Amino acid sequence: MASEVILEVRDLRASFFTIRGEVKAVDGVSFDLARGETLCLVGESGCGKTATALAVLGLIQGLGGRILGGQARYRGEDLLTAPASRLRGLRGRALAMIFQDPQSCLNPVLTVGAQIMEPLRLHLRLSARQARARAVSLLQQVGIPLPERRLQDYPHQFSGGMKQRAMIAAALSCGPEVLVADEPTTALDVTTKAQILDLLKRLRQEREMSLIFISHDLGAVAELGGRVVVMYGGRMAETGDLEQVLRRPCHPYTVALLACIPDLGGDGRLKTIPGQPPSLIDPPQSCLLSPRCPYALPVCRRHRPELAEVAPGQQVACFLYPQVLARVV
Amino acid sequence: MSSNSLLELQGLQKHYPVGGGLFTPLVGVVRAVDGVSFAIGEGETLGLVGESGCGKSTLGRLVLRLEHPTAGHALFRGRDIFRLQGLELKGFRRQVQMIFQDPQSSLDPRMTVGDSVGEALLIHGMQVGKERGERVEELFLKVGLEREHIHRYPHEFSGGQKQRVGIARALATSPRLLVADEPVSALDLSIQAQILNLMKDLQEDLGLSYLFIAHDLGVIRYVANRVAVMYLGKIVELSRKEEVFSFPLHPYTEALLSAALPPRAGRRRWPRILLGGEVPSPMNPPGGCPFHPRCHRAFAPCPTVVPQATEVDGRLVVCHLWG
Amino acid sequence: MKSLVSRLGGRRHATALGLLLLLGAVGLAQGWLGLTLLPPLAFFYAFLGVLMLLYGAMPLYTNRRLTAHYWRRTRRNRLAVAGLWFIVFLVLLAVIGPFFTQSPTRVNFPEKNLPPLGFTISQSTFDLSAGQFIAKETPGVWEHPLGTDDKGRDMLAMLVSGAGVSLQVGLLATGLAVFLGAVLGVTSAYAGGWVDNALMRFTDIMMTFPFFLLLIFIVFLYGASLTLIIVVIGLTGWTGTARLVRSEALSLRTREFVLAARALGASPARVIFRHLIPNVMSPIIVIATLSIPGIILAESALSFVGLGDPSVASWGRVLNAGQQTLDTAWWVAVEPGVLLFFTVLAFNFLGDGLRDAFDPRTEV
Repeated sequence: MASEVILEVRDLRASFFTIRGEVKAVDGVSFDLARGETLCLVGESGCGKTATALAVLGLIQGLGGRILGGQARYRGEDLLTAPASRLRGLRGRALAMIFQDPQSCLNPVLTVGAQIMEPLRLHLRLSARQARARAVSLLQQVGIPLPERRLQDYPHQFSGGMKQRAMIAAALSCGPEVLVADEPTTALDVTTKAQILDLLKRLRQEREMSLIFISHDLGAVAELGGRVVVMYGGRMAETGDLEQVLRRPCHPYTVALLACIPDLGGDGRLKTIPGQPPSLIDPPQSCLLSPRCPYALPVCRRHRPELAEVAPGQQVACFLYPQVLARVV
Repeated sequence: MSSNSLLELQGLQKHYPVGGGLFTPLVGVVRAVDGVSFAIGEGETLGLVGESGCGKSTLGRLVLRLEHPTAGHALFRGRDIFRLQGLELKGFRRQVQMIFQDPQSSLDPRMTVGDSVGEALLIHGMQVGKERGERVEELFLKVGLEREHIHRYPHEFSGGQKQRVGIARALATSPRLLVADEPVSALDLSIQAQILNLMKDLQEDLGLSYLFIAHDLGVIRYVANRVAVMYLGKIVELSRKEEVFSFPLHPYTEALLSAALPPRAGRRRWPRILLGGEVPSPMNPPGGCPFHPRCHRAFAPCPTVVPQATEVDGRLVVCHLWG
Repeated sequence: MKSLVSRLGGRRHATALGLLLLLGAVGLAQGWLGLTLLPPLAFFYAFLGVLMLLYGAMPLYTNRRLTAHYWRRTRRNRLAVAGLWFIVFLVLLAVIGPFFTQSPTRVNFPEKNLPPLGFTISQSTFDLSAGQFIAKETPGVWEHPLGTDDKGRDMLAMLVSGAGVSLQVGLLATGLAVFLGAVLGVTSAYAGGWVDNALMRFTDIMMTFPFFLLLIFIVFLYGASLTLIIVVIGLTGWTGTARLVRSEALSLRTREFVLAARALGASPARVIFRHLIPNVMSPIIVIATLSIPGIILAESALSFVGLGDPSVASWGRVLNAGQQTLDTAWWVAVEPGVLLFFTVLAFNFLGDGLRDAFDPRTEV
């Protein structure tokens, strides 16, 4: 894609400090996000996909995390070193985030309208009337019928899918350039999920907004398209276009993950990944998948594989590929 | 229905009153389960699919006799489970067990997992002393856990391991039927596959029957022999697995299939049907066919006439298209 | 017999019930026969001892690994550990202290108003030889390291005996209140329906009842005695516990492990005793620890306003006496005040620490 890069993340490292020790949640994550592009962060729980987004938005500190290194440049400005006041200004206006559980993200004692109008008045300093008109149009855009009336409703009067739509409306209120969606469809039913994914796709196109979509659901990722980053143990395992990663996965983890899915296609026994996901407390300097990987080589247990390009646009961190091996020797 | 069925439901209903307490007026009735009939044979897996709030979990609890129905019967080996008492009820409890969705909350945090598994044996007075210990050990090995795990507490396990403990507990009394309510939806992909394979292996080894409740059609396809699709407390389609996935009868089944997203890029098998609107409240379901406001095939009779169950090629469908 | 035991939910609960019934029987028999084999407070101790042993110490011992786990988590909170040590120190003081101190009631006017060690005050005393009041420098002496009050009673002795009173009131009244609250709360939650409704309305009424007024009234009628005060505080102080335990038990009741036990055919008693009670134990322990200081303060307040048991030197009573001599002998009020302050603080710190340790949300 030739369009301008608006978010540039380089070697991001962040940890949570818990009683049991330092959890290396994000360990050397890099990616670029161009205008209007979709980037999907994929992986199982605890792989660091959410932590990556939280670190970029400067929200990880509030959750007991600390950024240890790297850069996250938004239009050239490093978010990791930006003062808190500047970050607050950017969040909501330029960078917005929606979460998995709309239930817990909407304040139950405020009307939905008040919650959508709040950022409009705060960031854009709109008058009450203007904010209201804008909120109505936002609700319309996210497909909520009778927006004028529903503005006065409280969150409990909304169904799960409607709440997620309202959350999206609130996140879009100030016209952000980047929308980070953290598992926005996980709590929803199958048919509602399809509706929300459709909405996200449409909004991205209409507004030329960049989307970071975090999910463990490869089906949803396949639906959205764009670039995919597969994460494992806080590190990037593989990255490439959707077509490349899902059709010609190169990392043994991606291959195994795809084989685990009981999909509507083939029959027969499911492949599994033996064992448990790695502990990120004091992880070894080796490939974290090696204890679970059927192809593990001696080198995998001694060195940490770095990402290397194996096909145009597709990078893999696995010693099965000579390009990766070459970086060690 | 065939005479060799293990469990047979006949017009099972469960209605919950809303309000109607000492100081509150009766507001309405939630028809969580509204006239459900089907049978599960020995060694069979019946997959029950539906969206949240469709009544599938309530149905599961009815089958376990954790709730009493408003109307209808459930026959286990020909005996109505809601009439069982005393020893017969105990016998029923031994033979029908449950696997839960949330491995976190399904184990008592104050008991070692070994005690949790052994509790079933204790309650039923099966195997005492050393024998009980041996049986617990055997169960642990069977579900892929190790001896050392027996004396640990739930918080020392990962989600997948806890789910294995839950399965071991369900197996302790050598049941014939397991009701599994979304047993893998709280687990990670790679762990989900492990648990599904384990459940299939156990079925083969022990000849178990499953009532497998899930919202994920992929999972259902992997485990089920027959599939029942539930919408607003009613079964709208009941078919053999191969046929549901290759040729769904009910428009709702069709929509569910089309919404179940294929993970591999570009492998969509169904024209995209995007259902409009939301699942209506089960307290106030639409008249006629309850699905008609969202249905992409709705026609003249749908808003007014309640469709009846029709048999099509040995499959059951409740839809005017086929009636 | 065996079926009765299993119906009660196991040997432990059967033992507890048996011992409690035995205690009640002995008490009743004693009343009828007009004997006093055991003083009333001894019954309290026995009652509390049975419960603590069977439901506190035994689970801690049988689940040693879980105990170690919670101890590790409590130990992280330094304030809680400090609080615990202070309480241990206080208990030792109250139990062993009286053997080493003078009698707290021995009046000795020549040694009145002696300051604590290290302080010297000047006070006017009547000099017999001179036949007039003279100002005299009075230093603290080793015999009375914490000084004496205006009647020459040893402060240390009074504070040590006061520690015993405060701890007795705190532990016994709390034990009674928490036991009642827990039983009512769990019953209410498990039974549901009209039982729940009735019990909770009763709790509401008890909550709004002006308990201080009741106490004043009872003390006026029957005269102040420590036992009476403990019973009244215990019988009125259970409402908060009942509410908390009920809400905890209600949320537990819908948890899947309770459902699992029911699907296995477990009896209601088994569900209550084996699954509900052990899981509400941690909030019970926490609320007990946190309500002890309030009850100690309540007794002190009663003594302070002169409604305490006149035969015991509780901290509140010493405080009350000291308040009148603040200008001549500040230490008489300050010393029990400081002790009370630290005792309350210690229990609060320990309670906070236990709450954090037991909270599964901080498990990560």
